[in-house]
Amino acid sequence: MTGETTTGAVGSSRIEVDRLTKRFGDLTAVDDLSFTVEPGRITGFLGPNGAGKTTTLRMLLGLVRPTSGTATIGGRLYHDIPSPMAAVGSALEATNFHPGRTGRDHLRVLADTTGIDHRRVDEMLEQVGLAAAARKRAGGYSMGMRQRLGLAAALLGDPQVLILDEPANGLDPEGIRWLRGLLRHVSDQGKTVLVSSHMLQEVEQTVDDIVIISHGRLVQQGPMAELHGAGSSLVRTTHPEALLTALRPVDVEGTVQPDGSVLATTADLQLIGDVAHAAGLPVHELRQVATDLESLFFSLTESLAETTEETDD
Amino acid sequence: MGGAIVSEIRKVFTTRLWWGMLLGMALLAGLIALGFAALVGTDFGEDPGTGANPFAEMNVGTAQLIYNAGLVQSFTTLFPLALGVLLITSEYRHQTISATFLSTPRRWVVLVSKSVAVVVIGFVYAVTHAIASVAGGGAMLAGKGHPTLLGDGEVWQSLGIGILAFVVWTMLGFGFGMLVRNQVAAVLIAVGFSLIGQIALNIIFAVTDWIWAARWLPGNLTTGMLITVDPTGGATDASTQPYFEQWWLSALILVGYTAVLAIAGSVLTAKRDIT
Repeated sequence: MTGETTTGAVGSSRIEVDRLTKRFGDLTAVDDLSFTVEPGRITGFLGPNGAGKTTTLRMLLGLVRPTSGTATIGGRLYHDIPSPMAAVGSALEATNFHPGRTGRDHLRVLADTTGIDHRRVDEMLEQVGLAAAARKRAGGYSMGMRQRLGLAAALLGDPQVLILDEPANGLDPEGIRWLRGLLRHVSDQGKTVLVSSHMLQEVEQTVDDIVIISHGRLVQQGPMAELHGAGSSLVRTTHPEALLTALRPVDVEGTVQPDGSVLATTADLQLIGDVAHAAGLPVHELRQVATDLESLFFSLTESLAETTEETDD
Repeated sequence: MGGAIVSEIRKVFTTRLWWGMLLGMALLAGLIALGFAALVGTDFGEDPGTGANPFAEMNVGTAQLIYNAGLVQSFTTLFPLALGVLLITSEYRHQTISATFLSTPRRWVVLVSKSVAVVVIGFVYAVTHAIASVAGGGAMLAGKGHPTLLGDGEVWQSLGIGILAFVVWTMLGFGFGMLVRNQVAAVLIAVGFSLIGQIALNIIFAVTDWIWAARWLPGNLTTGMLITVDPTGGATDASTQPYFEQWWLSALILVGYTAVLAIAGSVLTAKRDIT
């Protein structure tokens, strides 16, 4: 029985997007998109603005009707989840608040629908750091406070799945750190966390998996570590060939660039410096090269943009 | 469903809108009733052609007219109408509709719950309107030494029907708001039609002698519901009046308008993408 419950819990929190398509008139916002989001991990849903992230999330949450394909949470359409707030917590970018209603009342209104105790409302306000502003009208909240209120609303039902659209928008660095800790805490409990962002740097240090889309199509999906790729470094010295020879024994490959610098297949700058020093070679420049996901992110989305334009012509 | 209804009712009572509008409406209703009551015994309301005057002397019809004065003037009906429009359009304006459908994804549940909340707040407004009107009108009548006729069954029946009319007007606004969604446009169109549109149509129908058409206007239907006894004491020929003779027929037609708007609005709301 216990085993069954556990399996059920995990099964009930996998997100599956299957050949999802949405057309608004002539515009294809989401185009034959498929990906999965696993429980116990934080998944970043990335893409430039207008890539179709919000539309995808809205289809997943039953707010927008797909033209074709399905998006399910634990094998169910959002509509068919009996007590959705207790299963899926979500905060969408456009989910605003009535400016004349207090933050506390906003949460109470939501809590009522699912029969959540009002004490839980006050706990959540405490947890997201809004207790002091709870009885103030939401119209006076800063962007960061709105994000916190949205998050409190998402967490209200203690859901197995957390879906957040651009949650870091408007948060200060301290708030982003706090958000990271919170998301990690949630995913460590075996829950599913899906976080969208148009900025890789925002989620780079937070997520385990990423799904990158552009123009409504899947560009890349996989664990962060794999997609990140090996780091590399650029070294400038007087005798590049001598440096390559010296690096070989420590398992670092390198190539001499047209401008005479050496591109080495490691992000370990200290190692390169030590090797060069031991070989008696002067180091004129030594830095990591951005082959990190950031350039990948841009190259992927850029290349897709170009191919799309070509197809359009 | 129970939770969704509680949620919708809480929504209404957690912003300032409801009591702000309620206060304004109560004040106006009281003043209009007071003004009507002040006319009793004067020839101010006399029709120069027929000599019919609803205020010539106090009778049951005059009392019905005074205690529902705001509604009969198609003026305080603007409050339940605007309230109904605002209750739904504010969800779109502030984009809280997403949160609403996320907590209750079955949209018909939301729509039924909202309708219940609309009826509840409509009832609160209606009772307040009746109290304010009776207070304003009754005080003036008593002050001038006229009978208030507040012991009369048909006066009370009229006040009761007034409550029904009020709830219907709130639903009318709600249905219209679902169809239009844009708050500013919905309020302007609804209030504009009720205030200016109806006056214009009444004039047009009077000039063209289309009394039968005037009877179908929401404002005239409301008056037809409320005034069941001729205030002119038989001096008016009912066939020349823009009201149906049976109050329930007027009520049925008004409810019919409301049902059409509410059902059309619901079907659209249930289907539409929330982007």
